[in-house]
Parts: sequence; structure tokens; C-alpha cells
Amino acid sequence: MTDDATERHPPESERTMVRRAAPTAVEPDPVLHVLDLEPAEGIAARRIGLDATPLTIGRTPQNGLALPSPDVSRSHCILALEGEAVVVSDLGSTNGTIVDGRAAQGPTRLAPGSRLRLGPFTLVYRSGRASDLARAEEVERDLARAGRYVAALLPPPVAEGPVRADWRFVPSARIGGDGFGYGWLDERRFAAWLLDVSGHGAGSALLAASAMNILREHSLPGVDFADPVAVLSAANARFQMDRHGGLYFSIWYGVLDIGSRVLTFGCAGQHPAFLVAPGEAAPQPLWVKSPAIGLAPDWPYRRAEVAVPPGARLHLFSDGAFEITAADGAQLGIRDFLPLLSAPAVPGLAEPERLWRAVRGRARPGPLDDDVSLVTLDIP
Amino acid sequence: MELAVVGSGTALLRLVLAGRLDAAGTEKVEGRFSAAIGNSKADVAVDLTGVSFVGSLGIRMLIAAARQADRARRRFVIFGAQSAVAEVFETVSLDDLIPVVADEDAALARLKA
Repeated sequence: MTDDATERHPPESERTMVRRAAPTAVEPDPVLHVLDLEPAEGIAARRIGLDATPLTIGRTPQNGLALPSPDVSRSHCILALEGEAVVVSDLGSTNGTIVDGRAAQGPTRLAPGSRLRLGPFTLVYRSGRASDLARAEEVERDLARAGRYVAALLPPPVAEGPVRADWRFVPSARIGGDGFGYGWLDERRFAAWLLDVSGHGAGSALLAASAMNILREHSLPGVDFADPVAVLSAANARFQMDRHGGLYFSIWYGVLDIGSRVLTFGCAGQHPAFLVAPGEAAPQPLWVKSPAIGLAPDWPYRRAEVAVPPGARLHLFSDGAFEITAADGAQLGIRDFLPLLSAPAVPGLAEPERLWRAVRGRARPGPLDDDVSLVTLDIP
Repeated sequence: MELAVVGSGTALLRLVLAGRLDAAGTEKVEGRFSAAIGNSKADVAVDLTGVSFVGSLGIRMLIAAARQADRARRRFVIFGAQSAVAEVFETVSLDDLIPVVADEDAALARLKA
């Protein structure tokens, strides 16, 4: 489009004239106190309102909130409204009432956003005007929709043929901007990629979706999608940060020739993909040092090659899989994650699912901070 | 996340960061970080000795600051990355984009060069 879009709208000063006047009657908008129960142990997420009646929480049904788990005591804790504050008191439970990582000693005042842990369950305390809470809920719903849209762009697993592919994608509540894909370019060559947009939220998801669509549809004019350097260079020209809301993304992009069994790959600002060969103890990192897409115009990206032995497995994963906080508060890194790749398969579990369960098991309870993407390609 | 601005008005502006430069930490200091560079005419040394984590938005803040200094024809250097942070810088190839050196002596030498 070449015409000036601003000409088709009246200037801001004229538009503001037609805004509706503020209503004269003030709608009641009370301050609400709620607990959001996060899903765990087969119990679905739900919101519990707090009012003047104290709320007891415990394992048995006579509690105001019953949380069935052997790690929750019969009468575990009680929450009461004191003025404008919510105070929690442990009722002598076996495993304690953990408020923001610390066992509550005596009555403990909750701050908005405080996380209350009882056994395997996490409750998040929120307070605010009814209208603000409703708005926050709407934003969360929109983010969930953005996550579902990104998930809809992901390819189906490939169960048969010379390359078999499977994945697990767990978007975080704030949407981390992960995306990935794979597919045949022609009869011989199979491409796979995984990207991660900087930051969180709808903006990151929009850029992820935009980049994913270009890579899925091969819609970079004149670009050979079998050449990782050509793809990274063209994406870099297309997605410079200054023209994309200050967002950039890292990506690993590889093309396997099943005739020669050579994998050609490039990498822009991302940690390596890993190749696990039968009989090899350690996974082999596949990496090329270069900055992420959008940070440096005209960057001379490079490619590397690796021979793929029969029975090899290629792992692509996002940093959300290893930059996690453990149950004891320790910050884990990629070195903690890599041994999982060589761990034995679990019968009946797809490899990405096995990895996800291992990651989930290491992280502290509650939702993870970032998207987790785990892609596994088997090359018999 | 903490930011201390040292030596504003002298020949060397030192920006000392401490804490986690994740999304929330970056949001907290980004405005002051950029303003400190904008309000000074000095070369810039960013001290990361007290920073335990740098995420994608932290990387962006550092690159944007380096560009800001470059546009004002001032030199810019980062030093003191802990090993976990240095690993992230290596992964994202940050040293290909802006000067990253080991310690304060190296930073001062770099600015004098």
C-alpha cells in the first residue's frame, strides 16, 4: 500500500471530541480478594472468593476448600480478612503452609501475588477492584488465545518415513514467544527449526507467529530454504529489531539430506541443537556462533555440517526447558538438562513427553516462567 | 535489580548493575540506564560483577545502550560478567556486537585504546 494511511482518519484532536461523557452515576466497584488455585493432581484451576467468613483449607470435605492429597493435612490452614488484608495461619499441619517459599510461622499477611503452597497445590492471592480483576482475567484469556494460535501453527508429528518427528510444547502463562517447525523441502531434504522471540507476552507471540508463517510457507522471495545461511540472512534482513517493536529472535535452522546423511545447519543467537548417536555417551552440540536475528544488519551468517549416523536422534529445545528454578530455589542451566538427553527411554512414553516430565519434575511447583519447546527427530 | 550511576559528569560514566537482569529486572532499570547515558557526555563502562542472570530483554537493553553511546560518539564497554552470564553472552554472540571484557582493568584499557 502506497497511500498515506494517516489521511484516512481524522487527526487525534477531532476524534477525541466524540468520546462519550463519563457516566454520572458511579457504579459499585468493590475491592475483591481471591485465591487462584493452579491445576495439580487432577484438580482443575479455579478461583475462590474470600469474604468476611474465614476460609479453612484441608484434605477433608468439611473444609471451605478441600484439597485431596496425602501431603495436605486434614485441617491445614485458615485464611481470614483483617481490614483490607488477608492473613493466613497454619493449623499445625504436617508439611507446613509455604508462603512465597517460606513456611508461615504464626499469622502471615499475604501480599497481592503471594503464592501459597500446600503439599502439591499452589494458590495465588490477588486483590483489587472487581473491574481491575476482570480486566486482568481478560488479558490472561487473550494470552491463552495467542498461545493457542502459535500452537495451531505447529506441524503434526511424523510417525513414518526416513525422518520421524515428535514434539511437546508447553506455553507459559505469559507466552514466551517460542516457535518451531519441520518438513520436507523436496524428496531428499528435510528442514527443521526452532526459534525464540525476546521477551514475553502478545508482542513476542505476534513476532513468533509472523516468523513461523514465513518459515512454514517458504515465503522469503528468492531464498533457497535448503541453505541455512540464505534463510538466516533473509530473515535478518526482514526482521530488524528497529522495525519490529524492539523485538528480536534467536533461531537454530538445519537441513538434513537423507541421501548423503549430512545435516547442514546455522544458528543465530541460540544455544546448540544436540545430536545423540547410538553408542555415543555424550550428545554432540551443533552450534555456530552468531548474533540473533534482528540485532545486526547484514550479518555474515555461517553454516556448519555434521554427518548423521544411522539411528541418530536430533534434539531441538528452547531455553525454557533448562532455565528453570528447582524446588530448592537453585537456578538450573543447560548443563543440568543435557544428561536427560542420554537417559534411557521410558516404555510407552514419546521422547519429548519423557523430557517434559523430567523438566517438570525438576522445576518448583507451579507454572514455569517461560515456554518449553522440545522437538525430537529420529533418523533411522 | 539495582543500578548505581557513578561518575556522572566526569570523564568516565560507570553503570553498576546488581541482581537478575531478567524481564522484571530489566523493566525496573531500563529507563534510568538509558537516561544516565543520555545525561552524560562521558565514555561508558557497565559493571556486571553483581549480575547473576541476563535474559533476552537484558541483552536488548545492553545493545540499545551501546548503540546510544555510539550515536553520541562515545565509547562503551561491558565488564565483570560472572561465568553463567558470560556463557549467555557467548551463546548470543554479544562480543561480536559490543565490547565485552573480563574485568575493570581491561575495561579501562579498552576505553583508553
